[in-house]
Amino acid sequence: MRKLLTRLFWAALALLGAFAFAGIAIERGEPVNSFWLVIAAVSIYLVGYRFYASWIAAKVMALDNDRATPAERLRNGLDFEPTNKWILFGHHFAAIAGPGPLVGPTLAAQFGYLPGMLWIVVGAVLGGAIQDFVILFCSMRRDGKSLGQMAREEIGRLGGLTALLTVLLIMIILLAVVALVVVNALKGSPWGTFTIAATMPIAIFMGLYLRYWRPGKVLEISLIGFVLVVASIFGGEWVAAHPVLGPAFTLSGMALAFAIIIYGFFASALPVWLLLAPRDYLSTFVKLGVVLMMGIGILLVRPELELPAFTRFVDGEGPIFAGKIFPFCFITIACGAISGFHSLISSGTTPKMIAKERHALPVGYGSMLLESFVAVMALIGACVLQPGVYFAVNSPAAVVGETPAEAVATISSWGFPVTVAEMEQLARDVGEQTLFHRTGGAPSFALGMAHIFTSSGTSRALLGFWYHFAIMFEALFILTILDAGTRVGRFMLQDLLGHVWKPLGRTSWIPGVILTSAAVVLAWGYFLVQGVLDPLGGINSLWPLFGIANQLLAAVALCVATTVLIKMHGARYMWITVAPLLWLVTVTFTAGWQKIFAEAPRLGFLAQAAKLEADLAAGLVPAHRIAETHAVIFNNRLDAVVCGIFLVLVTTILLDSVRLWVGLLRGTRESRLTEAPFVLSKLSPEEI
Amino acid sequence: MKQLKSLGQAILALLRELADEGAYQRHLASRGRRHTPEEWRRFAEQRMRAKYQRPKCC
Repeated sequence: MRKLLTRLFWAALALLGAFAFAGIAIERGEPVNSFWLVIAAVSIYLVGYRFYASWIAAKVMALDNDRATPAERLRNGLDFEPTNKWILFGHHFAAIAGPGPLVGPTLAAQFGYLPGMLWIVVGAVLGGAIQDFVILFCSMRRDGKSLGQMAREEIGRLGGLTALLTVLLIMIILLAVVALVVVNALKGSPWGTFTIAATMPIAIFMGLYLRYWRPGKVLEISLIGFVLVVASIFGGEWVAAHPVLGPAFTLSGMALAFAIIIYGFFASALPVWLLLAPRDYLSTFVKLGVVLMMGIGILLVRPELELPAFTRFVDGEGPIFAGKIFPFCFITIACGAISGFHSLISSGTTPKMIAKERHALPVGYGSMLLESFVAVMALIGACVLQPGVYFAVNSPAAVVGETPAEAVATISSWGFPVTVAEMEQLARDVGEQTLFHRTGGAPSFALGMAHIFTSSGTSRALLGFWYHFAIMFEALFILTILDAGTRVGRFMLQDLLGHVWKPLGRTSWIPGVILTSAAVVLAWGYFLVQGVLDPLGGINSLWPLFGIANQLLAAVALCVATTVLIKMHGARYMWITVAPLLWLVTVTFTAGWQKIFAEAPRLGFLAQAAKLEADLAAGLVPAHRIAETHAVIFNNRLDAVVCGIFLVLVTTILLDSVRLWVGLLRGTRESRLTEAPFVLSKLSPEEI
Repeated sequence: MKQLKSLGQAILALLRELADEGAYQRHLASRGRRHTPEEWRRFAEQRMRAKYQRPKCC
């Protein structure tokens, strides 16, 4: 009887998910409530977890709780420590959650809510969560080895070196694009700029407090830090209205870009306890709190979606970024469905903390489903805005027109009516000078979040507070990513340069540290300045480049995962990772090819460079813009080269992997698993 | 009520883990040491060196 009831429950849940999906896909002409998106997503997640992931755990991985994990065998009280599965779930989720699933779906909403929604849910269940889960499993069975080490051991030295280079290059693009998101969010915003600037002395105060005044009291100082940050948001409103301070904190995009570049250099060279670590603690707690608040807010308000299922921009002429749904919806959403970066976390701290093998299922697969749900919430946040407002905020001036009147005329002509008065009122409500041309996704996400929070019971007078709270929340962890990423990039560069000249490889040699820090900061800083200079808003070129890079890293991870599955079971289960790998390769190579060679100037880097060159030759560029146009031409060609390098690097790993797979399946290559030997677990349930 | 209490305990344990306070307690226990400012600084330096050699996720 119990078995029958269980089967009926799962059948009903599957039907509910199908019904919710059919509802949001077929419904036309009537507003769709965001609650249906929540029901559709959660039902599919539960069915995917219960049937697909559990089947993989039992049959393919044969997860065995009697087998001691590295956390038990190598327990040292520090990295290797058996940890309660729910605590580890939270820990892993906090580590994988970044700005990507907030920004990507917000930008992809230009196609309408449906394409993004479908990919976020299906991509996570069949691709992203599978990648995270399998890589976590592989690392757990190999004493917590990193993705690079596993690539070297399972595929070969060429695969390992290529993976290292790919990660370094991807990080440079990632740092540039997230910095651009912050620049575009703070441009001309004294309130936001003051709030973010205030987080730096607050973080330094926290660092000093922890080191000298109350060592070890991290939760206590994080709470104090949070109160100070909230106070700085209120202070920001006062600063913005101040006759002297207001203009002082009103910075242009270029000024902000240079401020962030200088900040990045010093922050990455300062001791970690002073700035990076305290802000990281604060950002982690704020991040988890905001995700929880967003979830509760959406469930309480259940707002209706204002954007349609599909917009006219499925034709590839979208104002936010150019390109058709295939492949650009998938590239843009990136981390909300599949993120290559997660494979670095799944082969980092987490495998060293898993107490029992079967915990890998909720931790690896479950955390990615929650990340995907965050992406669904971000999509809802964008789609509850009036479409006219959404496009006015996210479209660059070069596409919709420089002046507010031109912008609203263009956007209204697309069938998304919006007025200058409406935009001015909204800007006043959130304490901004203007909301036109605020590309990058962060401002529209903040508007959506503020809209949901003020609709869930708080006063509309708090719209400005919630808007700036959301901007602070995004900028806080983006700056942490910048510090930490620059530092890691420096280590990687030192690792590579150490082979050329030994002193450069020593992390304690100060000139080497300064030189390599400067090199990494200049590299991402260059792309950041390029994004600020770009007449199309920067996001049009940099976000797809980041998306392509991130998805290609996922392809590298899936190559490693497939190699391990073939070594375990031959060809029988390789489709589990080969299917998402084939999809990713198809999507990223199509997107990469189009970004380099497409004939439309807004889409293809080379076509854009050629068009600008023709404009110069025809004398169409005003004299004061000639130097800038030469720079933009060079940048477009550079982007084409970077995109090409990504494709070549991943092709190298892919070909190397396929060569190995063919050898393994034909029996001409030795199938040697590098798993740690079985040791019987003696860990009692009380210990975890 | 009991379930609510255990949920609260689990949340506090998660926060302590995210704040590295859990790892610090284990560090003290495994080495048989007591908390001192110097011990925290030693632990924090070791922990952070390892933590920030890995990229933050996007």
